[in-house]
Amino acid sequence: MQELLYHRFSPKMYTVCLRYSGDQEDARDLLQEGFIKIFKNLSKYRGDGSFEGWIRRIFVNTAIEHFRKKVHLQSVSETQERTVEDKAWNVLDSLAEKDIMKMINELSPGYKIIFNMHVIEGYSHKEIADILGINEGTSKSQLARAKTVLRKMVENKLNKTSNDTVNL
Amino acid sequence: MDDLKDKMYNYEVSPPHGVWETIASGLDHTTAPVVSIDKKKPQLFYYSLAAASAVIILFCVIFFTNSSRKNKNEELVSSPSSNQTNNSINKKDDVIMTVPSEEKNNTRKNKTNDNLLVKNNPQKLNSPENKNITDTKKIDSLNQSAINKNPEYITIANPQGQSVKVSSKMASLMDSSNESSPSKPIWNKKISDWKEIMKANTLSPTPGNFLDIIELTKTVKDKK
Repeated sequence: MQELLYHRFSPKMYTVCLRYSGDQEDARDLLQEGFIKIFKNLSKYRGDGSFEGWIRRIFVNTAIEHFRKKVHLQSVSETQERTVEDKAWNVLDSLAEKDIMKMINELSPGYKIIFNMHVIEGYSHKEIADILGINEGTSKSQLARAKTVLRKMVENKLNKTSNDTVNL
Repeated sequence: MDDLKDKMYNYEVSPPHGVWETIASGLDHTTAPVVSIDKKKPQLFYYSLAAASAVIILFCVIFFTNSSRKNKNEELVSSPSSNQTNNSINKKDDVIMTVPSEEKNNTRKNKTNDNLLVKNNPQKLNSPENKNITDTKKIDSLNQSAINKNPEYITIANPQGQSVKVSSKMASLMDSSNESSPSKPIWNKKISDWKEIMKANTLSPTPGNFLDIIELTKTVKDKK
């Protein structure tokens, strides 16, 4: 049964681990640690929400625990937050998952955690603040900064693509 | 934005080979979760044990007390046979009264019982002046403890060895019927009449029907 569960959920959970760690070795360790936690605590699953959601929360928490000490989150100014444009997101949406994953992994650990939690996992800023032990403002500003960095990455990628096309 | 979220949320990357083997070995080596033993459980166990022991001991005490009391009573019923020999009693006519008794608090009845005891004392029965008591009925001795234990009723062993319970009032009547020691002078005449009736009667009296027979005989006589 455990092996079945592993084979059923390991691809998605490995992706979660990769998004938070950015490194295959760390992701592998997180995957192992997360599944061992799940198998030990299977009896605690009460069936309130979806099983996949329960598993995912365990993996996210495991990843956060793993990287929390390494990350020092600092608040950035509101002006920087406003610099992010929605236009960049449209471009980001059009990219393939692999490319998006690569960009996310290029973010600094602090930005990466906030971006993953808020944008991908859907945590609110309050929840993020509670989990990470930071202010809501810090969470918001970190997200804004992450978006700015991503936008630059998208622009760079687009420029590079257009240059390659011109050169051809 | 939602597209990005959905896309990345459901994105899957196959994990490297050998991860499951590592997890499986980790699970095998993981010690079984230690279930802390509730400290109350052993205490509860010992309390239960103590309670059960107390109940068993109490049961044993009650059981043996009752059985010893029963044995004593049986001995009292059976013992008069030896007294019969000593007193040269005709067994066929013997009615052995084993437990004359009255309520402790009832002084009047206690007095009667005391009289019975004195009269029923075997040593006293052995004395020459009391030997004629055994002509018709003999009241055998009983000890004081038996009186206290059975204040309402006495046990009579008939010649066949069957024990019969009668009231202490009945015992007093039987005792008073003894001419040699008239403890109740008021009843003497009555008892003499009863005795005459009983002698003339063909019915065999028992402690149960004794008074009924007398009353019946009287009624018949009166009608005549």
